[in-house]
Amino acid sequence: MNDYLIIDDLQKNWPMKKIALSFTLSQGEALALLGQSGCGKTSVLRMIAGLLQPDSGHIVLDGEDISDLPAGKRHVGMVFQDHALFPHLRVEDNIGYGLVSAGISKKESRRIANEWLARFDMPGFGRRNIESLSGGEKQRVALARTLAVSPRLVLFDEPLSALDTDLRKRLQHELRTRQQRFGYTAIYVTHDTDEAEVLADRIIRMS
Amino acid sequence: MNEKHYRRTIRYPLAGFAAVCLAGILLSFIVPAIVSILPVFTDFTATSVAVTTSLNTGKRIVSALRFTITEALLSSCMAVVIGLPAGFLVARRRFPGRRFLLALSGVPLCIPPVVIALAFVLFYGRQGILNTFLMRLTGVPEPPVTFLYSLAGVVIAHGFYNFPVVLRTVSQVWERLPEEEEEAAVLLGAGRLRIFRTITLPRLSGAILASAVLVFLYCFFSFIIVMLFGGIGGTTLEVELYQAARSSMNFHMAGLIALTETVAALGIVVLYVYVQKILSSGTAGLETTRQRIPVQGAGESISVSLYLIGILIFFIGPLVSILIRSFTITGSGLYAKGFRFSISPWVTLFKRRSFFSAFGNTLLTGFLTAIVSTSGALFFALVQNSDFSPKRMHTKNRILRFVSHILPLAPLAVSSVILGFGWTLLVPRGTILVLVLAQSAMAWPFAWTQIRTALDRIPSNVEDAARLLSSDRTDICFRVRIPLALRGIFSGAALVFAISAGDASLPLVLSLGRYENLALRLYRLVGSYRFSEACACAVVLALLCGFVFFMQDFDTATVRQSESEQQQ
Repeated sequence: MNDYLIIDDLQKNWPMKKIALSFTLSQGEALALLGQSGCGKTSVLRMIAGLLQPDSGHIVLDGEDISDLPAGKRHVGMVFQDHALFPHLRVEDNIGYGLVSAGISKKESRRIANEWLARFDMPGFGRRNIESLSGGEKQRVALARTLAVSPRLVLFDEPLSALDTDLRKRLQHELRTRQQRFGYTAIYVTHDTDEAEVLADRIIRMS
Repeated sequence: MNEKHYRRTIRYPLAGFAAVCLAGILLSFIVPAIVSILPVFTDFTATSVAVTTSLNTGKRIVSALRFTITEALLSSCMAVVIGLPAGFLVARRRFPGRRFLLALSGVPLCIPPVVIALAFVLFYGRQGILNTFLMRLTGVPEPPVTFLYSLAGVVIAHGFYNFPVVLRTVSQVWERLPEEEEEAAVLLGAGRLRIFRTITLPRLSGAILASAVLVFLYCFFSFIIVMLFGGIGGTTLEVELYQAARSSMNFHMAGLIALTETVAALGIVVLYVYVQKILSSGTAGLETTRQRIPVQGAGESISVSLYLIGILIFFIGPLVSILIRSFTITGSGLYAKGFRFSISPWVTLFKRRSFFSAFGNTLLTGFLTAIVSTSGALFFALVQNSDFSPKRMHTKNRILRFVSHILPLAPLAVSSVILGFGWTLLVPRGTILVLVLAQSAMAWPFAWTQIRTALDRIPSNVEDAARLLSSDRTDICFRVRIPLALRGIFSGAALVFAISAGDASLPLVLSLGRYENLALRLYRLVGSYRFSEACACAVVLALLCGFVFFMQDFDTATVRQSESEQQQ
């Protein structure tokens, strides 16, 4: 199988820390980056997303070197640790945010957003405020917002760490099922070995 | 509406307007500031008379500089001495009147200096309320309180006017200092005084220094208060500059003063930026507000009561006396005895068409200045944080970073009189446009501070999410950053309006023909000893500035209060 994502000797140096990493990923595959807090897992995701500039190395996605592309042009989605939903927008406008940026009208973006909500078992949530959602609902909205723009790669930064144990277990399986159903390529960052095993096809341990 | 069409028809013109405002602001303080010092090099001839004049000029400038630094230094100390206990009470104690004390922190921002000067004259003047009361009480024939028209008068007026600046800055840090540090000191046997000296004070030093430097800068440029108190045994650089430029028409001297003042003030602004940096690094991570406790023991209760009574008499007293005086008239003469209740000052004020013209002018220039200054400040604040390209995210260009830090505060180093003098040299007969541009430049640092703070509060991951979802910078600005910073933007606009409405200096220095705003009208009424009418005008001006300021602050204060209550 061809390599869909190539991380080639990606390096970042700080006075007290150094990251050096290479790996490849096939299309539709799910990878987990596993490691203790502070080992640089999130920094790797941020470099792939274009939110952090690496000191050296290359990132090739679907045959295109995206190392020098700005974040908004990489078509890489990210689900943040505490979701980073826009608190001043309704649920449907959060999900439709990226669609409007791509030139789709607001009305159409809302229709698509509500379709995504239906897929995520949240019909009728479109006009709700973000503050009124539970932790699990916020997590789903964040994922729907990311997937709505059809990213080439989805990054998850400790997506379940803010949730309680029961919900976490349930959402682990839900995330895995959705990843297989929608077929997106995913990289998860987590410090929980059990979670990594449920979510991913392959695990890379960082130290 | 299609997104691209929306961008082309609404966003880009708005961004263009804001960019033009920013360019206008930058030009309207940089160009007049440079022009104001040009006479130093052009208006000088090497004759013996000129040399003698130059020596006298030098002596006068040195004398004025010494007086200015002395009064600003003493005023800052005075503001810290009064403000520190207030900061402690607001941050750490629960008592009736706490919210009132906190509300005072808005006074220097929303009550114009000309109103404060009038309040002090009415209260502490030779025949003011305090002296009248003391003479009746003790039976002495001469007024016992005579400090007002001296250095002490200026220092006390400045100290009381600016102590809320210290209160605001210090209390915001004090209420977040971690409790565990002091508890550890207690377990190690330290007494209250030692804990304050060794634990609390070092943590507060950045906040105290930052507020003291800011007060120093305000007092360094004090103009109206010194002008109104006149004959105080010394004069500030601002007053010397005004007299050289407008009365004696000695542009060479005016240029020299402008140069001296700007160089000194630039040094203070650089120091302020440096101190602010220390303050923000020292308070990083202090998020949780500590629980406030009731006043402890009889000793503390007595101290708190005495302090609050002092604030009421010496700070609120003068302000209230304006209101009282606006409803009284005297028999005849300036300080004639036998005040009686009357609404005639108000009737006289409202009968004059010139009052309504001044009121209209105040609204118009305030509104226009708020639009120009806030748009420019918003554009600059957004551009400052717009390095989205990963290659630029870790720019090491120190000069660029320094300019970006210092530029928004640079107008603080150019006084309103210098600005006015520079503009007068450029445009001998000023217009409202000149006034709006000059006031926009003067108020720009305040608008920028409010907007920058609001933008900094947006969680970084929310901005990151927006960046990933859109490659268009205007998209992120218009759809995420501006809506989330809206409260700060309105707050900045209200502050600019209040500064413009309360400004008598620029309208006085610029030759604006028949133009008169409320602050200038008030200054002229005081100058012609029409005190009752002046007080009525002062009440209108204070209400207008206070209303605009507190309308925007009310919402923020309510949110802050409920957040603080939730935490407790």
